[in-house]
Amino acid sequence: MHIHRFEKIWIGLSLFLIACFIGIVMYGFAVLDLKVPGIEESETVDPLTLHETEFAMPGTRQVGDNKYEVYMVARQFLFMPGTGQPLVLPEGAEVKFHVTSPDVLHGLHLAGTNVNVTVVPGQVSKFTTRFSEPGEYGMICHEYCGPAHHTMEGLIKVVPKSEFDSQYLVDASR
Amino acid sequence: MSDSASPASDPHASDEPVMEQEGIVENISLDDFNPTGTLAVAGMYFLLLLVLYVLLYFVEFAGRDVNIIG
Repeated sequence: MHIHRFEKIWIGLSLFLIACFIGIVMYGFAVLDLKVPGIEESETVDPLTLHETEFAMPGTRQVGDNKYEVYMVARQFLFMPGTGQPLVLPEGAEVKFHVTSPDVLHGLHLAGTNVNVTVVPGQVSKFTTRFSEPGEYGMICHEYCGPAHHTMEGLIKVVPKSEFDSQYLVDASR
Repeated sequence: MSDSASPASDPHASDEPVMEQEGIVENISLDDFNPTGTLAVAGMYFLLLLVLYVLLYFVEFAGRDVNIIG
């Protein structure tokens, strides 16, 4: 098949463009460390027996130097912790969230950020993030979960490291 | 797509030169036809796509702090 050389040029440009698109996403993934909530460490949990798991005491645990884990339960129509009392986290720390639901499908989105996960009953949604600046981040449910879905919201309050102490942690040594 | 009115006439078998239509000044081969303007427009379009994609990814997406990092 004969192809005109100009056509070869723009076929080449198209392939280059696709390579650039893929390359940029790979760069974000590998160098900027931008991830999506995945199923690399998929974990299931029985929604009926959450009280026998770590989710019995939702909240923040310190697991290392500047490393924390948050166990959160999203249920109709609140986030525990987060709704009512804000979830307080330290600035700059690596925080791993474990979120699950005992009832129906929920979503967890930190408004204005890239943190966005779906919370499925029976599964533990996990993601790690870091809040580089103190401030308040609104949490909303973005999956319709019932008649009061629109009221399901919470707050994450990020405080400077010096203001964060053990009062914001749950005692998991049961 | 074919406009041939009579089903009996095969357009490929026609010996009648197409060039006898009105308005055609010169008959050139495909390789002699160089649409540089089209190439320039296509190039600019590719460049625009690339620039906008970079802006979208690095400014609109990666620039929205608080990302999922693991």
